[in-house]
Amino acid sequence: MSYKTVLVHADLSSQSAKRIRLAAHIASTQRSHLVGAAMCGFPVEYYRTAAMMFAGPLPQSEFDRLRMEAEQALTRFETMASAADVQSFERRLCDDDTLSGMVLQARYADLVVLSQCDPGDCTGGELDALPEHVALYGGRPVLVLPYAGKFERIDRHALVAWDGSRAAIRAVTDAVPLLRRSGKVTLVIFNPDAQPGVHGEQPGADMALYLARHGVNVEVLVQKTPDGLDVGNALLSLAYDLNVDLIVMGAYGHLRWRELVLGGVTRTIIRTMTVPVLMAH
Amino acid sequence: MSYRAIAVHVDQSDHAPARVALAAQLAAAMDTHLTGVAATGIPRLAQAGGDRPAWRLPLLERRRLAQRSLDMFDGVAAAFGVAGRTMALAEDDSAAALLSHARFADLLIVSQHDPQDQLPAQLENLPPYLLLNSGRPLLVTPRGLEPGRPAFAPFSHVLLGWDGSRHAARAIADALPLLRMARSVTLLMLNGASALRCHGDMPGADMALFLARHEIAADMADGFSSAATGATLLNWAADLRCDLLVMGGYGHPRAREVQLGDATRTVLHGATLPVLISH
Repeated sequence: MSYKTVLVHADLSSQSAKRIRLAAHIASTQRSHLVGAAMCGFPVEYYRTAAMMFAGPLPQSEFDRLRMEAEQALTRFETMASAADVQSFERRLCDDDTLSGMVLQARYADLVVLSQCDPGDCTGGELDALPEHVALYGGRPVLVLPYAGKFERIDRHALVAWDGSRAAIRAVTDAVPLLRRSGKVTLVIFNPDAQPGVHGEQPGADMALYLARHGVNVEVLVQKTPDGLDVGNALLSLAYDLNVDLIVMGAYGHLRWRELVLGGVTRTIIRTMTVPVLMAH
Repeated sequence: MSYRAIAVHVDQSDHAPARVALAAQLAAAMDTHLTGVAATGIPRLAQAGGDRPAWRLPLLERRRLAQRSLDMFDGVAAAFGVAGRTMALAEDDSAAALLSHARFADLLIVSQHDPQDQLPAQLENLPPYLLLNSGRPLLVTPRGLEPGRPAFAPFSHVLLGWDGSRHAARAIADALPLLRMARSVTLLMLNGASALRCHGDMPGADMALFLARHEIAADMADGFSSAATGATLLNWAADLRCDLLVMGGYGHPRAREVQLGDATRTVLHGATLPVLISH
């Protein structure tokens, strides 16, 4: 099994080149179609609040500037995609704001590639919220690249965090195309005793069998989190010790008001990740 | 992608033989491992009190019933040529047993809820509970399903309910192995759930392209209407004589109960054809 369509966000941030390069590499290995999407719209919030704040209409120059930046980002994307060995690619210029635009485009992709926001780049907050927003609302797996570090490949050693939850089920299944091509896959279960009835006699054994049916051979690791260290940090710590190049985990959301808000472990990982993370909800 | 493992609910209901037959035909057609899951019906929590004499007799009887239905499953699966199969007898209630097996299956097959069924092993309406909690696509077989009907599985004419939501997107992705085997697939465009434009500039075009990349050619149909979505879906399925409906399911979990969206409730309750539903 492979991803047939990979979607990558294209913009002018410092993270863009690195992200597009990895997306192109994945598309090339998986023989998928690569879509570069750039957004040039204003968040709907602006229009909703403008009247209340007695704001004047936006000058056309603002729209033109956004459009021009998006076009530039897409030109860069096309240059990089044709340089890489990508079977077919296309550019999409969307009039939507970044968050809703990427969520909409995600419907038509099998994998979405995004970046963790570089604190130096974050203006307006949309880029900062992008990974979690698409992970929770996109309905597709999201591969998030840390802003610090270089990530040319993610196929040496993958670490899969498994806790039997709905989100973890989705993440593992959605990650199969990547896991099949990983040199080594470790399935880690933290504190199985804390979840009676979930893991069975041999934690991870059933999951290992399920993954084997999908052509993925895993090594199961059971870990107890040391006192004072939460699961999120324990996961990152283990990832460092094992020198993995990919983490796979479920993204947890809690319903607050009418929105989904990220759970603690997921938020920790998104804020402090050190290797690319594939997450699904 | 194909399904590598399917789990089917096995119980003493009148609907079980047809459900198991469909599961077996699918598993044989896709060369997939099939697990029959039968539950004794005594929740795991209730057993925590230890091996009390009062439990023993009913438990033995329930185990015997569950084992008997598993023998039926095994016979049917063998008859359809399912090479890889497992019988799983769970010392738990049905919902918990299926939830547990859902982790290691790509597809769960259960029956539409039948209020007439008075089964000891079942504490609740299974489809909504599994829909919201399992993280897996559910294939819900209708009450009136007869075993052995020709052109059963693989499904030949599939209707995809597409409203632009992530649930519908998920359901379509989950259904891909079935779509690939179908003779025809119709993408029915429905009113979007949210007020925001969620279909994009050309409704259906993007989804048709997504499907095309998965080597599935879909016909497009316009289902935008003021009628209730659930009724729209079922009417279209009947008019086009579809044998499978694929749709996204909406709902909120509330402890062990589930609050379903209107369309989801309508279809789960009233469908007369198999439905593949994901949340």
